[in-house]
Amino acid sequence: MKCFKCGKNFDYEKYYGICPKCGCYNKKETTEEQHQEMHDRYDGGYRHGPEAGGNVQGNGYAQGGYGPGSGYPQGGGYAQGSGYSQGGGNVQGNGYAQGGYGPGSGYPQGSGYGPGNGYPQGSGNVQGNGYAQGNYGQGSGYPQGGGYGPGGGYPQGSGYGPGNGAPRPAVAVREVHSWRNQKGGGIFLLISIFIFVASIIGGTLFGVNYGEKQEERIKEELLSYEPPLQEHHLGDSFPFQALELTVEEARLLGTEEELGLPEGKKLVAVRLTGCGDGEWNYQNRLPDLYIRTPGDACYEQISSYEYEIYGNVFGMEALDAYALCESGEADGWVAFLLDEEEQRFTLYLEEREGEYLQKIEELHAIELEVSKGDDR
Amino acid sequence: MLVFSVLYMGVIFLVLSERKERVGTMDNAYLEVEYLGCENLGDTMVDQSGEELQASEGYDCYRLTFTVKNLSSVQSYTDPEDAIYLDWKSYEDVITVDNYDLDYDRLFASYAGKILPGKTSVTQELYAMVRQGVTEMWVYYYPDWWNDEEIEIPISLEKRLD
Repeated sequence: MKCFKCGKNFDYEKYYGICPKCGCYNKKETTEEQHQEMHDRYDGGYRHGPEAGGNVQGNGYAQGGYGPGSGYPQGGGYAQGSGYSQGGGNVQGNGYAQGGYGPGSGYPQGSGYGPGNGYPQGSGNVQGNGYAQGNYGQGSGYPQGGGYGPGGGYPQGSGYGPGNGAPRPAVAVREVHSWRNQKGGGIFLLISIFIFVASIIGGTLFGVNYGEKQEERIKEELLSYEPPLQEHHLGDSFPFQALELTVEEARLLGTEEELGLPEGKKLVAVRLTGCGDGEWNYQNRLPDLYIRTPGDACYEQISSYEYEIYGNVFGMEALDAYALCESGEADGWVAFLLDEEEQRFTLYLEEREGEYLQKIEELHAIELEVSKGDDR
Repeated sequence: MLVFSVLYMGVIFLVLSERKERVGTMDNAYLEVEYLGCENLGDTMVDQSGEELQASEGYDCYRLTFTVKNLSSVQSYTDPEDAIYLDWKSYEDVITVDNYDLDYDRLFASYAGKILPGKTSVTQELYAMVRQGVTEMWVYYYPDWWNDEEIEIPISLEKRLD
């Protein structure tokens, strides 16, 4: 047959009515012949008089062109069966033809050809199921660009649509429309890549530099501050964390020779009493104590676990760090090694704050003098 | 890509927050040593254990005095005595005197050594035999024992304690 658009002669059966030169779909019958065939088939051969516009037969909506069956042709649209044709669209069967042809259920747009279900855009040609953007979309799928799609398609664009109303001229293939889409997508991609690279590089540099400066600043703050020193007297009760503590006395327990202590040392113990709410929390826990001699030497407290045996022997029970976590009141002794020649020393308690008690908030100091106990 | 960028920035901020918290806990001691001066003891000296030592020929005994500060809230891992090292670069000019060794068979021996609690400053003395004529030497220390950072202090043997 001869292509109605470009005039090329081609084999209709071989090319399924699609012109191999321009890609337009050519029906064997004219639109009017097809339209009349529908009338003959469904309503007993009704014949039209001369009409300016479209023709809807059966259920449908024809604006401009023809709309047999249930369809929706607009402008110069042609909807056959249930379809939707806009502009010069041509839908046959179920479909939507805007501009181009859409036989079967299709949606031709632009100068599209869409037999079956298809979606050609621009000068697309969909047969069967598919999506053709540009030219031809084949098979069930999503061909883009120069695709060929037989089966379910979605042709869009300028088409041919007889129906009711004044036929509108076919819309030219808007290839520039797809070109604009591609250009916009490319710009968005470039911007995305730029943001991505900038965030990687900038984020890393920021993290490193800011992190180091932040670390230095925090470290400087922690190292430079001086906790206040609270001095107390023997026998005075003072608040410590959530407790009330009192340092009662310091007593000599034994010498190097008596107890087999390290050379030049003697064993002393300090009695503390305290009260609190008896709750199990860090605020009721006694810290590790230490003493400081006039010779500027600091010695740590002997653990209550190691001292306990000797404390029981001396009748001076060890005060456990958690004694006030289990009970609202406690009374016990903490032990230290002291230089043989020293008689006086200062007892220190560190009051701490923070989730992990990592920071010394305040120091408490009590000056003590060693006495010899008579009831050992 | 935009989503990944946002996620990456989120990870950066999480890392910064975790780092800030970790620094805030600061569980290592941080020391600062200051040289106060020295004293020439002549050819004999009594070390920390009370033992009298005779200087080698051509050497003089010196007592070097330092202030050792623990700027952190954490008790120092090292004793103040062990925190300061004489510089071995000048080992021919300086002979160190070993620190006093504890007898760990004695009762509560592990509590006989000095400690350096947090936010505390103590005076520490080092004894050394210095070759006659040497006027300068060095000591070094590690502010953070768990870190490789090393600070060197020049020692002038002409700076005497009052």
